[in-house]
Amino acid sequence: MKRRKRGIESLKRRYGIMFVAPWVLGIVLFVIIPIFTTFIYSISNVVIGPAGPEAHIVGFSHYYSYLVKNATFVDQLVASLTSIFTSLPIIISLSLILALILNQEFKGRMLMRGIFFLPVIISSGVVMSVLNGGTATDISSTLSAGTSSVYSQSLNFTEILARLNLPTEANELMQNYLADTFNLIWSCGVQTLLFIAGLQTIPDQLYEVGKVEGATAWESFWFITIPMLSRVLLLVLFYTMVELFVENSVFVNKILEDMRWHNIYDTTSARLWMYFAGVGIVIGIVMLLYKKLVLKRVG
Amino acid sequence: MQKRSQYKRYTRSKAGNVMYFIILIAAGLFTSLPLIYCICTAFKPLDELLVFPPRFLVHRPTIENFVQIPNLVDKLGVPLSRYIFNSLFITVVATVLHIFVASMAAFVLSKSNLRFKKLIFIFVQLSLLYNAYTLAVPQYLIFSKMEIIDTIWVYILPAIPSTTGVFLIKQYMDSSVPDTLLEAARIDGAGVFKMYTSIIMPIIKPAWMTLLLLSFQSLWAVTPTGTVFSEKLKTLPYVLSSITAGGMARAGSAMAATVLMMIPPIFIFFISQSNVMETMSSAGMKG
Repeated sequence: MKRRKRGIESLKRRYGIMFVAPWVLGIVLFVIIPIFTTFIYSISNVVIGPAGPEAHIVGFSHYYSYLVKNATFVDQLVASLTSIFTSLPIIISLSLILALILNQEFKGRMLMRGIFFLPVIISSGVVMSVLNGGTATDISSTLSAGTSSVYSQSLNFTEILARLNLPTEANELMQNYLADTFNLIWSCGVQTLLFIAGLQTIPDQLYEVGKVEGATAWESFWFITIPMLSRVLLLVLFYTMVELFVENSVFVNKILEDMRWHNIYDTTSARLWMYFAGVGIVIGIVMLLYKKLVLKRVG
Repeated sequence: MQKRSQYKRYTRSKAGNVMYFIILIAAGLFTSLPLIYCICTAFKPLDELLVFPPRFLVHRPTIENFVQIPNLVDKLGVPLSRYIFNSLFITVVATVLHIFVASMAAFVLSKSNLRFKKLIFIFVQLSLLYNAYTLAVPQYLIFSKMEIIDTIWVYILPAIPSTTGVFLIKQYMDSSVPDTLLEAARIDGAGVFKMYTSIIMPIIKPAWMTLLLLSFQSLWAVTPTGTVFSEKLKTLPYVLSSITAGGMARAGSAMAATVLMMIPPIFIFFISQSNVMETMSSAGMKG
């Protein structure tokens, strides 16, 4: 542990700075400065002038008005911050299971992996950029009508559920769950790949040793695979939380809508900053718990 | 034979195998059906496209939708090849630069004794929360100060320092490149660059191959968002959205173009993943 903190001697400072410089430069230019600008916007009144947005600093009044005067804002904030905890454990365990299966040797393994990565290509890739284009309502409605008709016609969960004569509440619960299954499986693509890459870095010898020592498959899973994956798991955890909090958040989309279509930059920036502060706290707590409970135990 | 034993460890019984495949196929249905639907729709003649409710399978397949694409693009005044070149150039250049920049930075953040590196890293993790849309306006101001508005660099430059890549590679480096190995290399007289090229990069190949894939597929979908105005600098996804803007009559061609657009990322997927496989057997220096 001490060794890691000190780092390797040979990576002299000037090399270190040289290696990290291009990235830091880019981050400062394209991320840090813009983030700082949004903070300035959030404490100002922004008017769109001929030379772009002009900010006149007014202090934290936007924050105050949302946190104290607005009746629904805080509730919505808390609701959207806690909403991810139902899907987070499911996405992570599902993608781990998929990665474990897809990491095995069987015929058509590559094809299977490809199939599970499709949602990433389809949803965050080309098709989505068409859907986000705003002009393309037709194709998006065709696609969603088409796919939903696929599910209602060929799989027909709803019909099956209806035939089962379940109590209404149970039926509703099942329907919600099934609707979610689609989203959940669709959000596993990147995570599965990250886990597979992590599984590839576990040396075979460890499993050999385990076998010689008489470990069962279950034991080698818990005592070899999981500890060796613990850092990748941290990465996946973080990635998934960011994805759920930012990319697919209804809350953020609402703010972005105001920003883009109504050209409001001051109050929207304030709302974003409050949201991100909340997200930062939630992610911080989860990461800290993970480090304290898991990483400490497995080293 | 020895390699085989590693894979066998999860499946010891026939029942277990069957269960795994049931899970795979059930989950696979969810992910592959929309694609199959896209492909079917791409081959549908106009009258089948207009059927309501939409039919899943195509009854009389036609390639008319694909043949139409070049004609539709011609109306934009720039040949299709130019858009293809733009998309390929942006994707390839930005992906390669991103992998280099990210892995070098991750090398330092993971293995050096640079001061404040932990602080930098935490700060950067938090910056991941801001996605491109939230920063669009302030970024525009920076682009215009750098005078790269309406050039091809406006796609490439912001994509290079993406934080996700650094985070991903650092995490793999922490767990799979032992410090002792680098120390040994130093004693044997390897410089920092040598370490980077012949030790770090080969060992973490699964990580950067995965990053290659993620970066490629997101850059392939990049569209000009108010920063590029010249028609000849726009990308393929833009062409796609201008085809789809044609409405229901063009839905077939739009779907055909979509299917064609999905081919390169899928191709890259297979290249990257078969490389992830290979490293496992070739890189002996693990653990």
